[in-house]
Amino acid sequence: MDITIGDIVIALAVGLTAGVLSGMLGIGGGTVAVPGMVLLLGVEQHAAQGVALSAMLLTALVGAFIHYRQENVKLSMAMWIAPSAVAFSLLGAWAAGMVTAEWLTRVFAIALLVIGSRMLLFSRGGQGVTAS
Amino acid sequence: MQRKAVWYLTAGAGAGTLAGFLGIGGGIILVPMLAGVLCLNQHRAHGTSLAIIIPIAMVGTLVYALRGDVNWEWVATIGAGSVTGAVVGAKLMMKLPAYRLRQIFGVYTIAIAAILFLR
Repeated sequence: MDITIGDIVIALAVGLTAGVLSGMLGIGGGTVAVPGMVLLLGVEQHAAQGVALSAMLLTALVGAFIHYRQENVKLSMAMWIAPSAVAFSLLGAWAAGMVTAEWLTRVFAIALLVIGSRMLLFSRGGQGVTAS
Repeated sequence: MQRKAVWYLTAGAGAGTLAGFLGIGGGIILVPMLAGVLCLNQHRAHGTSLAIIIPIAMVGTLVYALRGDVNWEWVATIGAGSVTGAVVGAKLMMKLPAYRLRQIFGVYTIAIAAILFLR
């Protein structure tokens, strides 16, 4: 696929939005980057997810480094959670290759719906507001 | 300790599956788990979540790349945007109340879900 200047501008804007949200809410930018690529750039669902994961790696590296210097990374806990996270990421990534783009988009949309509803329902909950 | 180990496994499994299967960071599961269940304060939950996302994203990228689902030109542009945005976002975090941010984000995700369905 040929990438035009317009596409690059859109991609930068999508990335920027994803990054700002991820920095502010502490979430990976995938919820913005994936639909941004699918809807605005016409990227296929699997490819959009692949790019989102790679971009996320960069963002997480920078973000974790900044937080680490502020002593806001509890490494002992990360070490305990990481092994199962890695195993299931491997499994999930493999499983994604088994389904069609249409189905993957549908599951993605359902996940967004659940995440969004939860955010709205618990928006005033303890997390975030009580930052100390 | 045993109960904690179960939570570690669950948090990792949830975040890992979501990330690998849908390309969503997993922070959406990790942050509430770390803050709510494992009792880290919000800033430490953010930092620790990001640290866990590093190996998750690494493995995910590898699998997608091997399958040919990673276009590096998109990675360069989206990545450049999101790294810049993350630095800006981390600074903005203090300016806007978290609950307002979550409301905006909640409306946004539901709207996107609707568009993806109706497309």
